[in-house]
Amino acid sequence: MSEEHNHKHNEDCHCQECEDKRNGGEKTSMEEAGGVAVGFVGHFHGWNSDAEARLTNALIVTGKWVEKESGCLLGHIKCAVYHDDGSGITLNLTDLDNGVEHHGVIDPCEEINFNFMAAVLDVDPHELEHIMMHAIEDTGIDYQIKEGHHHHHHDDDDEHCCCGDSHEHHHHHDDDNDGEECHCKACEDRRKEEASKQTTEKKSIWDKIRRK
Amino acid sequence: MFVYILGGFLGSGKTTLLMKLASMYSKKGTKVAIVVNEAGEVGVDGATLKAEGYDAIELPDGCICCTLSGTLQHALQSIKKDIDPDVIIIEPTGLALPHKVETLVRTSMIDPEETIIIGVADIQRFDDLIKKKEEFFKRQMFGANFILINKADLASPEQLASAAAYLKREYPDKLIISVSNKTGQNLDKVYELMKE
Repeated sequence: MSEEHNHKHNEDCHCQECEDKRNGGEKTSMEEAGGVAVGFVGHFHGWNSDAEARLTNALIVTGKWVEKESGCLLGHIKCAVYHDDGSGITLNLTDLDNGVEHHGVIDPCEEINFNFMAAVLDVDPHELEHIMMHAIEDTGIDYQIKEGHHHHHHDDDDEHCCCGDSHEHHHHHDDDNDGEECHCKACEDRRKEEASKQTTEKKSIWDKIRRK
Repeated sequence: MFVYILGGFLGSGKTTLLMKLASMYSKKGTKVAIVVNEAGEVGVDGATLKAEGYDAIELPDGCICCTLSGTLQHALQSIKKDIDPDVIIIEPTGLALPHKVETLVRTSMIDPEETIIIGVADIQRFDDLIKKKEEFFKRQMFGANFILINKADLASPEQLASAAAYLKREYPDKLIISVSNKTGQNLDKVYELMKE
């Protein structure tokens, strides 16, 4: 194991070294394919046919971003909206020309569960999740993400989102709140900057000692 | 007991085919168990199947051909013990290598009469996939007992002929059938191949 790691290499660690060790150094099929799979679960409040149309658009927005990023949409973007008994609908996007396929029917209701996921090729998973978050946010549907799932907040005044839009973000850089470490580009850059500052400071201390 | 593995890339129509096959078996009174695997932490296929009235064992957050191999074998043993079905249909993720799943089934001590891989290729994105991930696609298909060219209703006869020619060139010994889960085109031919 590399000594450069500061985190614990336990069963929850997903650093490359730990993943390689787990897989006996072999690449997983997902790595071989260059695929990524991300998603989150939560609840919608005030579900009706208008919400379904807006959600359909969220899948299209995500699909267009994937197409722009990787050259074509190879994979699928799916959303299941369902009651606790399992009844519900699923929306499935595999081809932008065909649009989103709808399966099932649900009546309007006050609250309903959703799973939103994408499994595609050749895109950055964190950016993809970010875009999916935006897509849900921009539907205007009242939603709540289930705890335990990664959710960014770009509340910082001086920070711009990787999607290039100037709209407000509702992601949290949650390091301090719930122990969840955010890996968005902004946070990763900040960490790098802090690490480089620390190295510089250490150098100056050692320099002083040497001089003494 | 027969085990079917539906292999094919993301979005090729494996889940819809799975539902068609499960429905066909149910009508005949055959006891079927379904295993679906999703690469991501969040699954949707399980919800789709549930919404359509099928009970499925969902294995999310990893791939049953590699990271969830032990979980798959354990699930198969439990299915054999608790349900003892006539047929198990396994839908790996679209990023899985079906021949690896077949090896895991073979070594899971459930003693199936036969394990059959059905390769599913999506005609609509066939060219894009070959262009970007040809090697991976070939690895997905090479273990298949027969290959279905799905979404035939959305393709021109020329597109279908070109894809069939490619597959025939790569896999001369394999049966290749153009199908449409949507219109039901040639699904009767697939049903005839299914054992119980």
